[in-house]
Amino acid sequence: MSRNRDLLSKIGLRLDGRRPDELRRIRCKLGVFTEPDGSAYLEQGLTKVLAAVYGPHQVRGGRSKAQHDTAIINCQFSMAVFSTTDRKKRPRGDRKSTELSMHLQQALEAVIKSELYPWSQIDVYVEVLHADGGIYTACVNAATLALIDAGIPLKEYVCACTASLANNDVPMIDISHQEEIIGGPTLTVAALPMSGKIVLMEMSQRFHMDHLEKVLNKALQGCKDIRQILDEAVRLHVRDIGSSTGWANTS
Amino acid sequence: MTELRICLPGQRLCLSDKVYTSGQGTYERQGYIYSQLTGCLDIVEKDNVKVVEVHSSGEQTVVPGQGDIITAQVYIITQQYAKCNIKCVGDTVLRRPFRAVLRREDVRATEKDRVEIYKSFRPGDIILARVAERSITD
Repeated sequence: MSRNRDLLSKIGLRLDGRRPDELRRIRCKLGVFTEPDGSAYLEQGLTKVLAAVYGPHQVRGGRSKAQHDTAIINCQFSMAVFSTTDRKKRPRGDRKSTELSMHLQQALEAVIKSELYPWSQIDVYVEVLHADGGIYTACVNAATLALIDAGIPLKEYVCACTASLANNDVPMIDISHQEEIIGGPTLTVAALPMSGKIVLMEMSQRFHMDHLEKVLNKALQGCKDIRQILDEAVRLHVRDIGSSTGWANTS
Repeated sequence: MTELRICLPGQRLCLSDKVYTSGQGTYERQGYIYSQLTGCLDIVEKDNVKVVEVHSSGEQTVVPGQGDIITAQVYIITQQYAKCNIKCVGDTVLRRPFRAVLRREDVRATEKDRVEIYKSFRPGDIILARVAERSITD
């Protein structure tokens, strides 16, 4: 518990000078690559993530995987070997990456209107360039942007945010790597911010039930804030692209 | 040009009722019409019904579905079937081709048993066809 106290200073600021309910700076860019159908780059604090979307296309490999009523959503999460302090041996395929791929797939399956694309497949590739806490959240947010860029029908945005508890009392959002190490339990939530549905919730440690509600509420608020930031970025991107192409293919 | 209204996925557009119905690029949930794409709002009026559509500014993502008219190129012919690459669905050009099989009995409607693939198609031919039910073996 004594270590927990350091998370929030006496004047209520965090180690990196943020307030408890303040997000790290999010910068994002859509359409960073030309080859995939959609791509996005997202920076959340120092965490940097690239996402690329291919498809919908015909199912590759075993044709038996194809579904007659929905599209298969295939996610691959990988971390660059230079993304962490000690060089990683394998960029993907280890237990953690596989788990994150599955979680990502779960979150995306909840928003993609895959019933519109029977017998097909959508690939989502996410690459972490720099890991500084909240890898999963950055991946979900980047994947959302890439899907929007690819023009794949979505029910709404899916946004993810982490939250934790400082001093056993104050909930704080968007946990950095430093805070993850010294801090207590981290709650990761992926939600549909407009309808308020939670698609994924994960806890890193044991945690008292009494605190869950307020931490969860903060995390959901964080998701809503992130949506607003992404929304703004997408709007700007569409305006840019649209006006430079003279709104071709639109109406 | 009228003012363009940009829609984003999940944005609530209007109430869904007798006048307004959900069209391309939108979906209906709990009595409201929501956008499912990023693009421009377009309201098409068709016999007193206003169809709310959202058109994305990028290329369309379409997959050939049952009953669609497609443009395909034949690349392999055998006694039993011709293999094709689907290039277009309706008016939309696909970014990546889809593979398809045209079976001997589907070449024409009459005298099905007397069809000979090589008399109908050659590799390289561009054909117009309608998608039958999807077979898993192709």
